[in-house]
Amino acid sequence: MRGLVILLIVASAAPAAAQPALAPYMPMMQARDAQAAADALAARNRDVAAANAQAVQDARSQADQALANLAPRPSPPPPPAVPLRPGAPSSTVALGGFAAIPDATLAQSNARIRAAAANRR
Amino acid sequence: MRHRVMERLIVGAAAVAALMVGVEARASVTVIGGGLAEACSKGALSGKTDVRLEQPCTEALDKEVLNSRDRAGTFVNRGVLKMRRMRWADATRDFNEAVRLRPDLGEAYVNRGAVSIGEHRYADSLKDLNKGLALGVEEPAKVYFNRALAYEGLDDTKSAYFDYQKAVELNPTWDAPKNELIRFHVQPKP
Repeated sequence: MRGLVILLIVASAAPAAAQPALAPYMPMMQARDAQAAADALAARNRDVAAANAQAVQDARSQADQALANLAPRPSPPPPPAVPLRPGAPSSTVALGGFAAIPDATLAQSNARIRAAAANRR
Repeated sequence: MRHRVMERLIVGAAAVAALMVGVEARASVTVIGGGLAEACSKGALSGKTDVRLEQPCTEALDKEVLNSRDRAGTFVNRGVLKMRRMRWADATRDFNEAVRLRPDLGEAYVNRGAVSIGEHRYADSLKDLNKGLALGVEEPAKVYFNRALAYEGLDDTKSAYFDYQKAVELNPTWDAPKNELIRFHVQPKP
């Protein structure tokens, strides 16, 4: 029984005793882990870059295809003219330059002439 | 004394004769009634390109007594006939004259704008087309159609699309803007 106890004590003490034994290798292990992480990151970046390049290539080929499918735009039609209809040029003579006699004035003048003619008789 | 009276009579007679000649000469080139201007208008409205259609316009401008609007309108119609035969510079001169006579005549501006489109001067055309629209014209659908052509020339596809639509809205029976709209594919923004 005593032997078993001693064995247990020794066994439980073994990891503690092993740690000091691994201590000199810890920096190397950490460096290895860091290298592995850096490698994984670089691999991921390469994947992303490759995916981006593929996407650009796909977009470019799609655009080229769309342009190839696009029918050439026909030449634009001639711009329609906007003539004036016959109603617009009213074909009226500008009367601004002609003398005009108001009806009342004309009637008064006529009356005076009639009166003068009557007096002569 | 008698000689002096005779001299005065001769001078007076000469003056009267000169006046008569003046009246006679003027009467020979004056046609009152505006028939030629109307013939010019009908020619422009016919849509034909025959050079002979310009003749009544020129005669109307040379011989008829027209008010400023009719005169400006006749310049517009002659310009339209010239424009149809792609005589851009000559047409522009007529439209310029119409603008000078009647700065409020929308048709003069919109046709000058159409000439600018024919000459691929799209930015210049927009100024005249907008001025014509602001003043008002009888056929605004044509002006919107022309402005759409100008926008397309300036690679402003969106504005062109809306102007073609406006032309259809103003004149639903006119096929030209509908035919242009066929080329457009409208996609809602994601």
